[in-house]
Amino acid sequence: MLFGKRARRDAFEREAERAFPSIFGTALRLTRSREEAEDLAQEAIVRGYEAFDRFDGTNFKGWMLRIVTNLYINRYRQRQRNPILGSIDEDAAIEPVADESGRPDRELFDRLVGTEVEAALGNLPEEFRLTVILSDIEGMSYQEIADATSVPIGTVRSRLARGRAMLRRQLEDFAVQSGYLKQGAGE
Amino acid sequence: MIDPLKIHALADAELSKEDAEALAHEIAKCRRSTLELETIQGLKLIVNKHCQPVACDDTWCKCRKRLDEIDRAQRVEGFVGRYAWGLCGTFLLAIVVGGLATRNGSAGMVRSGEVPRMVSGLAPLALIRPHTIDEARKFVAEKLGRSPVSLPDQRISILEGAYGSSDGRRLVRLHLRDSGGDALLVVVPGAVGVEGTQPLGSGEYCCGRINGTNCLVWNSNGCMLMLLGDRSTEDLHTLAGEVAFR
Repeated sequence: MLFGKRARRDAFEREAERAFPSIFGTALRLTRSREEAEDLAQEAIVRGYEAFDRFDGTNFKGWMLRIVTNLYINRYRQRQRNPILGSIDEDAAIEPVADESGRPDRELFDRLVGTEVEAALGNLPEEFRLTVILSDIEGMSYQEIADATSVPIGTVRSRLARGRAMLRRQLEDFAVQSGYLKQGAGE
Repeated sequence: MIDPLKIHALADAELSKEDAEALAHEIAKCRRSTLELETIQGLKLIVNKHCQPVACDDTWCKCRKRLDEIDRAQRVEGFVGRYAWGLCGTFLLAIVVGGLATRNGSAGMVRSGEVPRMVSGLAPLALIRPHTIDEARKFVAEKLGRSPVSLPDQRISILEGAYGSSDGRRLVRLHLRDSGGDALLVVVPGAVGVEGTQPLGSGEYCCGRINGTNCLVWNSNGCMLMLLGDRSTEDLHTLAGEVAFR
């Protein structure tokens, strides 16, 4: 019995250590506060360890990110009482991500630096940010994101499309402010 | 232009191989759709490239410590859960043994709280109002099987003698009267003293105050004698000298 517990702990620790950069990175990008991210990541690790017996053994990182996401939604968002979604029409028509003028984005994308991308991501409304993080940084599938955020897969698709469109606009604004692009250059 | 959601699904590799090929063929024919796909792919690339892993070694160490704490707590809980009956039994036994030891250790000492019950709360099993000192001496000897007191013929009269039990102790209580007033003499076989009294002089007698009344305690012939009265300790001491067994 004692050996079983030790082995369980070792197995969990091995998996968790490998997935921890993603767990902490996601927590940090969601909370945008190092202190809260530490709390969230630690809480997720504790929850994961307690529930490790129920892990099906297939995708540990996805399973842990699901715990992080659920904890964040239940704990932090309720505490902050910040109904961001209420101000955003999720059923609005999906707009293209690309520039309406048809100008390629290579010039814009090539000149951006990490802090600008992180800042632009941080400015996205919560639900869209969460979906973009899980898809484009953590590489989760639509189904995994739907499971993690407890929304239908159709909502994941629309949030991702709209989130990327918002992100591109944010990046363009940064590029204009930084002088990489001239305002209205493509119009 | 092709539905943007389909283009996102293609960029995210969410379509089957056949669907992806068909859609790619369709996109190739539409400039706006091609640009949309390129933009999505570019965005995915820069987000993935620029959002680097965050340094988190310290936090991971904290997590490991919390896991250690959980393991430790579970070990303790497991031990307590497994041996709960044993632990409870041991504690109970310790309490019982401690209680018995305390009770036996202080069995000879009369608690100060017992004294008022001996003095005024006694329900006598036998009661006499002796006409002579001899009657009183005989009453004490009969009830206790010994004579721990030597009552003088003169100067003291015995108004009442009572025999009974208080807090599990057999005792005889004599109501005395002399020129100084009334006093009570309580004789308790087996007891050795009263808690809270202090040795007086050489230590043969102990004195104290119980419920506002002075008392004098000493031992004689296997009994504890306690004299109580509204008089000074010295007067009680004098009276004790007269009733003491020689």
